[in-house]
Amino acid sequence: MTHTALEYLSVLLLLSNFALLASSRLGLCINAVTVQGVVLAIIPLLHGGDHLGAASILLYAVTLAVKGYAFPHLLRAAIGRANVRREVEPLIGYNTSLLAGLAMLVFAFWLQSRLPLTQGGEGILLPAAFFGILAGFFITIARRKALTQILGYLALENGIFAFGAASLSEHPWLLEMGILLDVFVAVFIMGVALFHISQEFDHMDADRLASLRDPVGES
Amino acid sequence: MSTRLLALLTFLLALGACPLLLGIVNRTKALAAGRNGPPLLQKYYDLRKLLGKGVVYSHTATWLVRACPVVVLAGSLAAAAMTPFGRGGAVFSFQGDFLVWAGAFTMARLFMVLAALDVGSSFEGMGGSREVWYAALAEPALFLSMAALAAIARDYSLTGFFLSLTPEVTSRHLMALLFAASALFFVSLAENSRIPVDDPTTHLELTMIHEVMILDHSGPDLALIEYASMLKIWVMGALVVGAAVPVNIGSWWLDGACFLVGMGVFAVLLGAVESGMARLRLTRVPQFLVGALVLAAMSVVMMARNFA
Amino acid sequence: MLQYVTWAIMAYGIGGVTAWALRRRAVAAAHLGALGCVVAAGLGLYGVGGCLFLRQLESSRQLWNVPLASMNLGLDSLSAFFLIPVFLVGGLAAVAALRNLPGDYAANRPHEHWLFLNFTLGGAALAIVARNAVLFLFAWELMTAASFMLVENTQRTPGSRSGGWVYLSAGHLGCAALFALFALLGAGKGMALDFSSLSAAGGTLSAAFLLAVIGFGAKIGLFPFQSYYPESYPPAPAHVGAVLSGVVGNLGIYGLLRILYLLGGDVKPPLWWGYLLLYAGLASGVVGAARALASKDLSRLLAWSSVENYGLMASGIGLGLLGATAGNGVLSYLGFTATILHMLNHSISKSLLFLGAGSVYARTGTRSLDRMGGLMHRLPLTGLLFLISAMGAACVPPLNGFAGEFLLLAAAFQGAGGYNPASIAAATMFLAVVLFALVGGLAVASYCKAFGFVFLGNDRNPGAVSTVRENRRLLLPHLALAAVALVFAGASSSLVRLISPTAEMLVQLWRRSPVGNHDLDLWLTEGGLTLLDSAFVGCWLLAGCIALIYLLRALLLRGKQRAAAPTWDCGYAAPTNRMQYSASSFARPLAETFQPLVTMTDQEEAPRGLFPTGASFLTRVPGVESAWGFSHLFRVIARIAGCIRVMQAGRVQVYLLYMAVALVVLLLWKL
Repeated sequence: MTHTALEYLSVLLLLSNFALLASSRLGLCINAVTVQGVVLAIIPLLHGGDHLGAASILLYAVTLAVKGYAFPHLLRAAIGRANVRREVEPLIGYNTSLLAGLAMLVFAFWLQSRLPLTQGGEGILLPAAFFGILAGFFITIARRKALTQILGYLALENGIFAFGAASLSEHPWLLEMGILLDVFVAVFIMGVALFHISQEFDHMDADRLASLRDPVGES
Repeated sequence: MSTRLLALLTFLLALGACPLLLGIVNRTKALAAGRNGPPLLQKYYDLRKLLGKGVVYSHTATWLVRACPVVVLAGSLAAAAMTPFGRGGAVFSFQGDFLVWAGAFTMARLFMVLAALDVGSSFEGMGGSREVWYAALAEPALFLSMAALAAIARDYSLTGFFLSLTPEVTSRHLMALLFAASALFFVSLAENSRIPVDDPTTHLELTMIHEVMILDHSGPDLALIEYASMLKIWVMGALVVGAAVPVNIGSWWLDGACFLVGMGVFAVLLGAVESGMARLRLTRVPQFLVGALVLAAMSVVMMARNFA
Repeated sequence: MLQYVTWAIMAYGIGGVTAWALRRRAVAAAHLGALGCVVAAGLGLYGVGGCLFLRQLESSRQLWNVPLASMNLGLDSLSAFFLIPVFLVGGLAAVAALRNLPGDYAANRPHEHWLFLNFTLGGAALAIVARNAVLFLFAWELMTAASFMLVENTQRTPGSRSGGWVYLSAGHLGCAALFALFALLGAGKGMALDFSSLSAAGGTLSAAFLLAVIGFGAKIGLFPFQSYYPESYPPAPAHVGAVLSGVVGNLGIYGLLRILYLLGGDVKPPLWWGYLLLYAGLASGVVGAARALASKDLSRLLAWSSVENYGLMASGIGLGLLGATAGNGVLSYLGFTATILHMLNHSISKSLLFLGAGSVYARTGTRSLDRMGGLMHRLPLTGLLFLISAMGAACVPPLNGFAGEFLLLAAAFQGAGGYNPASIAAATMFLAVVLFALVGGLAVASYCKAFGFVFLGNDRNPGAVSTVRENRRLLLPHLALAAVALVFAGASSSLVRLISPTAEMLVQLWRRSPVGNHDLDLWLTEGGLTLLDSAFVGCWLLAGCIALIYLLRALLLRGKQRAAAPTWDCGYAAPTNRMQYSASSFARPLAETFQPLVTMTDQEEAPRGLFPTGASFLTRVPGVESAWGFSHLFRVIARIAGCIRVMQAGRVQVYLLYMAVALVVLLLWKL
């Protein structure tokens, strides 16, 4: 039963990443990341199996609080302040992003078949984790808005988290707590930076930072 | 009951009940909007009214406008004959019939678009343009979900697809089947010109797709086309239901009940989508169809994992 | 039966030479030239029919006073199938040329035109029966050069000249690869380079295959050689287009299949052979279909559609090879059968389309799809025939083209089921299914455009069209081709059964070991053939439904009032013909979806001010880069250099991309 539930949750992870790739609405993207956070909070519980210790419970609670509540809250606040609702003109269009997502999905499954893993070699969680990492990276590359890039970063980090959950089921919580802390700091800093970008430059288009580059190549 | 007889009966049921499906859809929409809505049998009355009228042809039109209703209905009819409605299977079933099935709709679409171009109106040309645009993008998703079904069933006919779905197979491939069913559902929204791709109730020529192409048909010709599109919804719905609900449970009446309830749920779902969603902007529709392709691909991936 | 084919080739030669000799008497020259084609068609088809039905394998060998050469001819069923379009299309195109286009282009030098037409067809037939490398190359060169002259001869506008040159240079690039191919295969043999003595082993085998793909692929516009292909079509008259697309192009497919006979053996073909042809074929399918859709010129549209169809055939061969590698005889068999079947159907439909386009051009004087319309009223029979051929070429049932596409898709489905579903090979098959479906949808859209905007609606350029009634006697060759198309559609299962032994032979090329091909035999005896009949059953089912509903409609309309009225114009009372939807607008949204494959440039002059005086909007769909040669090369180099410069873009996202790519590459490297 826990096995099937794990499969469903992994599929949910996959779908939420596709939603991130496909949607231009920041609100929807934040929701997708929230779903990922909640799913990732449940997965250690299932994975713990019989020896569900205090550590797992703690991890569950902290993940849920940070990923399921704090991040979305922070990000929504950021949207509200910067007053953006949509990623308007991404560097790579949504259709292409979706098709690239398909390619990444196939790649992730292929990777799973090639990796010499002792644990987690058969579930969907591992490819879902790979896919999350790739999709997250892709989003940071393909989108212009700093906020969407943060979302991509979060998806990437969620992928790493899921990878940890899939491959190191024995007491991974110390590691994951560490990651969580990292991310929390990162998002916090980004949130501040974002706020400043939007105040200073009247927009939060990370692409325009390129105007600060070395003018050598200009022709 | 013999399978052949059951197949024939379900085929006749499809021919008779397909207007009712739209009645359920419209009733759902009306209820969601807090209206009473038209009676469930309204579509039958519409057809009867159209059949009683005379026909008007454009001065510009050639025989293609007259051929259109014939070919369009023939396409739907042939597809219906190849579609299994529940346990009995299809009236005509042979290896590779789903390719012919898709071909029948392609043939119908070709004549539909040509008839739209035949009358020489700018609006109908626009509708035709959008029709071929979306159809070309919907086709890959349709074929890919068929490929997933074929790989699950290890068979190459529509009847084989669905009759092989015993409860054991279904539970094993549940995820793949659900993805295939949702991809087919997306495709059927696009192919049948429903919201969010096209609005069947719109009355502005600039925004219509299917409705604008049939502006210059009238009387019995229009009735044939309308009936063909009702049959098409039933046929595509049967596909969605067939993938989502296993019909090979055991006793034929239980299977039949499953199928009919499934069709009812499909109709309510259509109505719910139409009440809950707005139409997509035209340029966003390809993304919807690529989404369907992604779902179909997920179905293939899930299927492949179960065999790995 | 081989002797009939030999006589047919001689008839081409004699017809061409006598036509040329009678240069002072244009009418006699034209008739003799056409007579050559017709006589050759009769003789050749008799010989081909005998070969196919008697199932005989024939060959003859005479010495030829050229080093390494011999007059080694052979006729087997593979040759026979490729000879059918040569004779059939060649003969009918000659008749059409004689009767439909009496004077306009050929008036100056009809004798040259007939010489080159005969030599093109003769060269094609000779290449198909040649069993000696030197003879084959000789025939191939003859065909290439003669068809170049055929394109070149007819018009003297600058456009036609450059189109012909592009064609010739691309043809010779391919030829160079073929010379290298046969040199490689014949290296160290010392004797006459007969096909039976050619062989290769190990690394040479793959090199030879690659050369064959380049050499023969260039002939059919296989990706990435596609961009030159349609250039030679617009200036060429209709029947030449029919010969180029319906006869000459097939030779590329023939070459690819024939070379497999030389490369086949006990060692299974490497996996990448199949992948190469499959992916190249799919790529030219998608590119060809997308560019056909975007084309504004009818001939160009048809030519791009040929690229698409040849791509489909090449991917059929690719599926066949993949099956051979995997030991999946059924996949292999379906792939090869689909290739040959689609070749036949495409030749018939496409040459009929070109002939139809010729009738349209003769009537309207333009090839621009945006300036036509309403021809159905003036040319009802031409329109009907065009529709039949368009449905055939778009692979829409119940017409002939559907059977080939059906088998291709069936092969891909079969392949997907045959492999371990979690393997890369199976993923390839699913990708092939997706792309076949996409190509099919695009082809339907392009033919909706081709037929709808030429024949339907109102004339967009009224006054320019001659009002002479359709001369139905001139349509006899068209009718004959349409009849063949209908027969192919209605009897596709017999056709498939006729092709079946040839496909089995191709499957067996890699099965010389005692294992044999049990899986295929088993499949064929255990009802696999019913799959081959499905397209046939489906076509008749659809035809039956159409007949049924036709009767129903007649019944429903009995006694009903029929009226005529203007088209519904949404309340606007003064529509003009130019307000109709245009072909460019029709194709625009779908073509735009494939933006990188299809380049479109807009020139817009928007209306300005309160009382705008002028406004215009022009879309161009540029073909191949017209500067062909060094400037092109330099531009490519400059573009590559530019790409490298872009690496230093200064964008955060791009640097992130570098990181991602580096990580993935490292990961792949370690795996």
